[in-house]
Parts: sequence; structure tokens; C-alpha cells
Amino acid sequence: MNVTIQQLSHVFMPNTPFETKALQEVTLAFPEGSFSAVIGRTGSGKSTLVQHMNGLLKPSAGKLEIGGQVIHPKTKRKTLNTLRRKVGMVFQYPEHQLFEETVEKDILFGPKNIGLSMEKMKKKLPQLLEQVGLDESFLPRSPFDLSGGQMRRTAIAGVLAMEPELLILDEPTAGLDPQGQEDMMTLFQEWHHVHGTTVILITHQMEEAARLAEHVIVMEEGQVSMEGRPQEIYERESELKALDLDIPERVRVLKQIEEETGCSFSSYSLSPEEAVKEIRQFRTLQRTRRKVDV
Amino acid sequence: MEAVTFHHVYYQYEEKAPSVIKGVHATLHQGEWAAVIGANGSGKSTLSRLVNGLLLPSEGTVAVYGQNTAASGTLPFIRRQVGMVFQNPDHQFVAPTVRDDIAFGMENAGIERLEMERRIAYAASQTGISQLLDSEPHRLSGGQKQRAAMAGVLALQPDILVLDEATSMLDPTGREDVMQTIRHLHDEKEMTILSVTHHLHEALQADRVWYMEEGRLVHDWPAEELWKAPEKLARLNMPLPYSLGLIHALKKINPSNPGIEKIIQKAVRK
Repeated sequence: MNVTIQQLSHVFMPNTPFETKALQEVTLAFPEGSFSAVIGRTGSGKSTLVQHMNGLLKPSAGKLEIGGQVIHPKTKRKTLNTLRRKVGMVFQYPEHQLFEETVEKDILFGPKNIGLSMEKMKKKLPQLLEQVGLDESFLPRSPFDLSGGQMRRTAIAGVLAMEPELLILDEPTAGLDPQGQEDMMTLFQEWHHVHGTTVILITHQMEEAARLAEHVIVMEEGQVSMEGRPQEIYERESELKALDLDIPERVRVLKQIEEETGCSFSSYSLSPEEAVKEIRQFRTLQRTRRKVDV
Repeated sequence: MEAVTFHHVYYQYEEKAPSVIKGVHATLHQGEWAAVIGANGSGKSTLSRLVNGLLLPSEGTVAVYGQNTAASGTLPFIRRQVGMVFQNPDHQFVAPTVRDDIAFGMENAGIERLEMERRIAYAASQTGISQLLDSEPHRLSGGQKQRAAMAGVLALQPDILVLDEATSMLDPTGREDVMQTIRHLHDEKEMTILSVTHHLHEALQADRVWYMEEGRLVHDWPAEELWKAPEKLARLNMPLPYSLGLIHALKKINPSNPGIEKIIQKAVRK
């Protein structure tokens, strides 16, 4: 699903002493099938931005086009409802929104609500469960008896069950332990790969953005302050630091090695194995050169 | 001197329930910093709560400077020696300003006004929040809140600091600020520290790394040893920090390559 945003502004409580300009003339494009990350500190406008994409908010000025549907300040609120069928949103701590008696009912609640066939859905359930790392034995259980990680998987399955064309993930790994974060990231990576869904990930972890997204957008004070491939964004280290964003450990260490040795890595997203291989190649090359010099 | 000793400690939350701590036997010496790692449910948090008598062992003993936490009358002494910082910074504030909040614990301890002022200034400077004393706690960032909570604990002048996942709800910047404060308290103030964490790169800054699995303290490593032998951590199925992953990858390809290892060690330890 193509998403384009043109000159989008959003003002909370306009014409009052509490007026806040949350977004100011933001122009962005998320092409069909892309995986993008939106990063920025708390209050930078990243959540406000994505809330326009599933119809929770309307622009104060400018417009968005989501899969052919245009939304502008005068768009009727009712027509926004159709968006929610196409746009899946995983909020922060989605497990807080579980409420049904069983895992099965909770997962099927969304699909039922938007009128998907229950018969088809039930057939698809085993595969869906497997994709989120659960199995059928969970279906009759109460979601409240599950571990935190399992609850989150259940909540995410409920969103994925609606087979959204655009999937928005708002800090989906917050509060999980490192292994849980890793599992969750792999899940979204695979879902994106298999279904070709357009994905927008909101995070303040550069590491996650770098690993998953092909396009990174950095927000600050309601505006887009940087945009590009993860690689290009890392290069602007001092700007990132000024925005309280961390350079991922991987990039920091690799840059450090470059400084120490004078070698130059082919990319900053190398796995440890690949990086070691490049260091060794560089050393061999250095040694041969030295011999030639002598 | 032995600051905290666990002597064959078992703990179960209810009678007949399975033990969540199983036979932990370990010592934390004065001035040492041990980081406890392990999966969710491995018993790390429970272990930290046994130190100041918040929980009492079902079997075995926990002692602080030789005083058994379960013996009658020792709790006031133990609570004075052991300060605790918890995971959620929002759950640790009671007063309208940071200053009042730091004072709260001291008021309860009956410390006189002038001494209180002196200690507030000191605790705030140690945690880097001197500029924030008149702020409302809820307006602070996560990292600032956690450091304010630490200041409240330090004002009571404990010798031992126990941190239960104190950084896990913070963003990377806040996490680094809290870690810097911990390093300062350990390096400069020689405090004894037990920190429970999910983050390996935080654990590796401690003197020792305690690895827990299903209630057992399975490994007690000097952190230095892990930098030299990352395969020990790789075996545990925990994602390695990138820096350690590099050393691990190097060792897999060529176990003895001091030249490259030196380059990597130098880069990652900066």
C-alpha cells in the first residue's frame, strides 16, 4: 500500500493557550512493500504522524493519500473507518488491550469486527499462530494466564489476522528482554518478507531501525530532520547525538576499528563474522604491501 | 570483608510451590560489583529482594555484614546498609519535588534538618541531578527519574546498593546516564553493588557476572574472563553485544590471532 504525505500539519487545541504544533508541513512517501523506520525522541511527533495513517487523527492542513484514499482537513470522519480495515496498528504494550476469555476469541475479535469470514479465519489460525511463535494449544487458554511475551504475541496475532496492507508498529519491543526483542524483530522481518506488507516501525532504538528498515526517517519538533538509508543516517553522528539518538554499538565499534587501523568496512551493517573477515583481508593486504615496499 | 553472603539459599513464594531460588551459595565482597543476568523467570529479581530482607529465605541464610536477614531485630540494621532501586521509576516517588522526595526517607529515619540538607546536596551531586532538585518528579525523563530515585537511596548512606533492572524501562540515553552513575559509585565511592540486568553489555562493566538459570546460580565469572572467552556467554543462548560478538567470531575463525584481537579489544573497550 502506497502512502504519501504532503505538507501535513497537525495542531492540537488550536486557538487556545494550549495550542501545540505537533506536526509542521511534513512531506514523506512510503512506497508499496517498503519497510521504513521513524525515529525520534519522545514528543518529536512520530506517534502523531502515524495516528493520521489509520484515521485516528485528521490533518489540520495538508493531505495524505493512503492506498488511493485521500485524507485532508475536510474529510468526513466516517469515511476514515474504512482505513482501519487496511491499516493494522500495533500500539505500545499491545498486551494491555487483551480482554477476551480465550486467546482464540481475542485473536478473532478484530477480523470478526471488520466482517471477515470466520470459517476462513479459523482455517488460517494454526499458520498464523506459528508465525507469531505460539501454537494451537494456546487457543482455549485465557490470555491473562500467559507470560508477558506470549500475551504480546497474542495481541500481535490479532492485528496480523486482519491481514493489513499497511502495518504500523509503535515500539513493539518495548519492555521485552533482549531475546524477546530479537524474536519479535525476526517475526516482523519474516512477515514483511512473506506478505510484502508495507511496514512502518516507530522506535527510538537505532539498532532496530538499522537492522530492519531500508529507509529511516528522523523526526524532531514535528518536522522531518533527516531521511535516508540507515547507512547515510549513521554518518551524521553529531547530529544524531544532538537529538539524543544513540549510534548503534555495531557502528560505533566498527568506526573505532577503522580509526585505529585505517581499514574501511564495506558497510556498517556487517555481522561480526563478516566484519572479522574484512579485517583479516585488510591485514593480509597490508602485510603484502609491506613486503613489496621492502 | 564479606558484604553479602548467600548460604545455600532456597526460596519459594508459597508453601508447596516450586522453589524459585534453588541452593544459591555465593559471596559479594566489600566494594565489589556483581551483575546478575539470566532469562525471565530465572530468579534474578527474587535474589535481589533477598538481600535487604524484603523476602526471607525458605531455607538457608542470607547475611549482610554477617547479620542474618531472618534473625529477629536485624532488619533495621540491614535496611540501613542496603539501598534498593527498582525497575519502574514512576513507582518510586511520593513527594511533589525531587528535593522533598529525597528528604522523605530521611524524615522517616529521623535525621535532623541541617544534616538532611547536607545529604540532599551530596546525593544529588553524586547522581548528577543537582539542577533538578526543585523539579516535579513526573516531569523528569526516565533516566533523570531513576537517578533521582538513586539519590533518595544514597541520602540514607547505605554501603550496599541493589538495583533490580533499574535501566530496563529507560531509553538508551537514560540507560547510559544511570550506568555512568553506577560506575561512579563503584569506582570512586567504592560501594558494594548488586545489579540485576537483561543487558549483557551493562553486566560486563561489573567486576563479576552471576548467571542464573531456573533458580540456580550456575556461573560466577570475573567479567574480565568473559572478554577473553566470549564463547562462555555465546553458549547460553543470549544475544551477545556486538563488540563481544566480534571477538567471538574472530576466535571461531582463528583461535589465536593476537594482532587482530588486540585491535578489536582496543576498539570495543573504549
